[in-house]
Amino acid sequence: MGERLARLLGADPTQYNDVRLVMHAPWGRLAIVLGVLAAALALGLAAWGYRRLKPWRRIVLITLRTLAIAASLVLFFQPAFQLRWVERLPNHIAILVDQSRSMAVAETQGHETRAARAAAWLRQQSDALERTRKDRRTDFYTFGEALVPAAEADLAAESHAPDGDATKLREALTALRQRYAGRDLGGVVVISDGVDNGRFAEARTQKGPLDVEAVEFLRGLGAPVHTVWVGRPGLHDIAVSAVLADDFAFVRTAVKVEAIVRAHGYAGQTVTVTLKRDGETVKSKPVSFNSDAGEWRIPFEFTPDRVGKYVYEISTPVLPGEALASNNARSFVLKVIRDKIRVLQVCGRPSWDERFLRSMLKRDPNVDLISFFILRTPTDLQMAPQSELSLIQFPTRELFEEELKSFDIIILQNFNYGPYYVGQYLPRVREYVESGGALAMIGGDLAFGSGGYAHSPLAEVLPVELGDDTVAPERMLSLEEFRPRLSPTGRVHPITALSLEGRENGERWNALPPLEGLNLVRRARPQAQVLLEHPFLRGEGGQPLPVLAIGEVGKGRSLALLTDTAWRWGFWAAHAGGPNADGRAFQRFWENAIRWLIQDPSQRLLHVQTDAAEYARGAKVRIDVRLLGPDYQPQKRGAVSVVVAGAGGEVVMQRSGQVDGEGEFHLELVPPKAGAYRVVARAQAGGRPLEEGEVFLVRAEGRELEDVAARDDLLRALASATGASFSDGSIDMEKLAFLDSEAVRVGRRKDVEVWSGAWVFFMAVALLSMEWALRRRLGYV
Amino acid sequence: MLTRRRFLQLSGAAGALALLPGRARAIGEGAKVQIGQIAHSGSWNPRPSGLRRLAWEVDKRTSIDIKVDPAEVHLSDTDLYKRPFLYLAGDREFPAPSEEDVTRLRHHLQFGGFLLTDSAEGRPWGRFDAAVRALAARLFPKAPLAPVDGEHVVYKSFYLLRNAPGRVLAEDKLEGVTHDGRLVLVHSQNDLAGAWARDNFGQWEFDCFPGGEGQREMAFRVGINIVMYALCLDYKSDQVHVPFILRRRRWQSE
Repeated sequence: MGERLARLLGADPTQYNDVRLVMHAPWGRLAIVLGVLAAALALGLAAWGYRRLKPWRRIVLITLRTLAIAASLVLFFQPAFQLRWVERLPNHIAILVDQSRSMAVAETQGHETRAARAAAWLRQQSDALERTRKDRRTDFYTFGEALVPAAEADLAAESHAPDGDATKLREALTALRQRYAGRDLGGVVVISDGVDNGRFAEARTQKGPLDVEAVEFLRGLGAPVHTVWVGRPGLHDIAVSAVLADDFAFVRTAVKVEAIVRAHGYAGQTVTVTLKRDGETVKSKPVSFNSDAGEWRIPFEFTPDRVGKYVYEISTPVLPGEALASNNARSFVLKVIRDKIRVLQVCGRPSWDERFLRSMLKRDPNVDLISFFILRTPTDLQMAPQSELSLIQFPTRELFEEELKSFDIIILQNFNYGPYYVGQYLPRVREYVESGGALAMIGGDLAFGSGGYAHSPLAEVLPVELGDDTVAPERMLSLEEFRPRLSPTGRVHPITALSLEGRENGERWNALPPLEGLNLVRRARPQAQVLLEHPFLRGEGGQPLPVLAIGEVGKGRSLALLTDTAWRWGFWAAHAGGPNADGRAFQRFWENAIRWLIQDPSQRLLHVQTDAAEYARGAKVRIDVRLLGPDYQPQKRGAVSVVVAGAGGEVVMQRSGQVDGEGEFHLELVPPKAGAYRVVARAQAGGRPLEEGEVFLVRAEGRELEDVAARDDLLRALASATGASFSDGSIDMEKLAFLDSEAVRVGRRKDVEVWSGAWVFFMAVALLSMEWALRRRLGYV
Repeated sequence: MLTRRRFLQLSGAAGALALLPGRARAIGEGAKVQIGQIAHSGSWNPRPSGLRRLAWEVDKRTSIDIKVDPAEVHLSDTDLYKRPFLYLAGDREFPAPSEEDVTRLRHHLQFGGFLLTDSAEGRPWGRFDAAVRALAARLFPKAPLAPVDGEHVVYKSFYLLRNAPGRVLAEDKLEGVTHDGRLVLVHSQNDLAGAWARDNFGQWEFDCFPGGEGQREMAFRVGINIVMYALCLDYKSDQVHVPFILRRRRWQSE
């Protein structure tokens, strides 16, 4: 077009390839507007004046007038044809290659991966790219979690294994648009498997992969987005793609978690989905894949039996031929907290000691109390048939076998197990304590040695050594009244803290009413701590006999209160006046004892915690250790050692050091790989070794491998929305349509003025004359 | 309902069991339960052997370790608290305690004590009863003496009871004052101790009317249930007991 016009205007078309119209008139914009308005007015007035003429006369006259005005306007605007030699500058084509982990998948094990297909396609296009390079600049990028510039050679050679933890194509296109703001982007080529878990995944609707807003976004890019799909059907993979679970659960309360398993290529197969805690199987369920591809939801319900933070894992076996093994398991951290403290109170006979303890425990909203009292012994008279009594069978099996682990504390209060066939369950109770449970034995004539415990399994977990049980029960008891004394340990121990202030605490203990009667024992166990001791009775070895002793047994704890008159600390003390007149000493003592027995975190001397429960790969983990002294004040000096080990026990960090002035020790690490880690901190306080643990999880691969099935629908929709083409890799670059460059360079130019010819002037005069002559002839002038 | 024949059978069995060797008992005397009988300036002990016999029955029929002889206490005693279970009886009006004594008693009950009041008048709404009501109103002005509903745990704390007879059956149910979710005062107009009283020759001191010996047994059961309630509170309301008790209640109905 440009060349023909140039030839028409008498120019050499080899010298000029572009023509455009320009105005030479020096008038400003206002003058141009006024000129056009004046012309329009003149034309309007003519039409008005000729409105009553016969039609053909009117047409002729108005045509003459119009042509005359047009000629005048040419003179007024001074138009010219500008002949130019124009060269277009190359615009940009961006080629985006998916670098997320799903690109490492080979649909069939041992075959070509998607990344390899992408690299192969780029290699095939190298000649075509070279040919188009003079017209277009080709820029290469990778995308996964972010858009990153890349070199063509690296991509074609597949130099870097795909390692992106997500595929965020929309985010990548947004970054691309910003990168090319103000620059000429002629088109985009996306090479991907179509697995997206960014904003495009959120835009997926039932009608299609893109919602209206996503389509608007794509159109707003202003460039075609060609897509090259490197995925293939026929994937064989099973993935635990998600686990729906809360962050925390209540101990002994059923927890529901749901695993979403996605499977491709295993129709008709049945696999077992397993839930594990710290490597131990909690539950497993079979799941049958009744279609070739789909999603199965597997609910698990389980009841955590212990407080703490645990790493759970839901996994499926890796079947032969699976494309990916690493997505067959998914871990999560569950913090199990205590809703209520579940206490089992078993009492050998109703007494004031039992009554006030039950009353206190029942009133405590944090306690879930299960009581069982022996109201009638085998030797008591039976004056009524069973149907007229409210007595029930002692549910020994239910309490000591079925429900045993559900209790936080077992209180055996003046209870002799012998007549009730509980002896067979005592080994279980011992195991329960050793594995983290708590046992409190309260004195009386049916407790300790006089209750027949000397050679029972429980003797091993009590903090006192029981005496010879061949002597008469009465000789195992002291009937005297006495005021127990706080031992040096008892003065600072949280159980015996009736007041936070040391001196006031001592005064309170001294002011408590006297106790009456004591279960005699040999002595406290060597590892046990005596908190209250008898003022004058001595045990073997000459030490004061313990009245209240505590001990650590394996992972659990035990407490021995060797009297049945502790209730006086409440009821009697309330009436006796003095510092305990509020009547709360008994309650405070038991509240303290319960907190210690259940190993309440507030009573631990060593604390270790991480700043989060779960981390992304590469994230820094901060570990805080806090060491308290026996007085529960921060220990200003003290050695702490910390070991961080992976799930398989491999140590990834080991540090030792001194706590600072605040009793704290901090350290950081970046775990080397994904998985569960356990932190174990060790220290000493008051000569006792302390050990505390914490767990954390390093997430494996974000959401990328939740479902690695390649999808072409998103890539098709992208191409369709931008008027571009989709291909499965069989198309050549040269066949892809891109926008022409908007940027040009003008080599030479020449103006051919239209107005400067005299014919324009003469034509204007002639036309006006003709119109005047015609009007005169028709008799209108 | 307990028949006379059944009662005699059970009494025989009880006698035989009483010959069995004794059990080991609480560490010291302080651990034993002892009823404190309030001595006021009126007729405070109309049935002198009643409480002793109840304690004996409690000792023989239940696992409670109880001192058979009650302790004589006065509301003015500063160590009133040493007897958490108090018993107040009379067959006529008794003088109103001083304000100080009422305060001491209130304190006692609020902190966990228990008071059983037993009218020996043998008729409802007598003068002792009126004095008890006046005392209850002074003790807990905001919690008046009210009938204890038949579903209350005191009727099932050991025996399953439908009513609360004593020597007489002036009122079908007990009355009580509830504080902080528990009965702190239980009142009977049926002369409970009259049914319990037994002389040194083993003879019952009073006939029970209208139910005879069966009613006497029921009176003991009421007393045992009250003692059991004072020591175990609402233990029999715990969920573990509910299905058993409901089933037995149904058997009794059938």
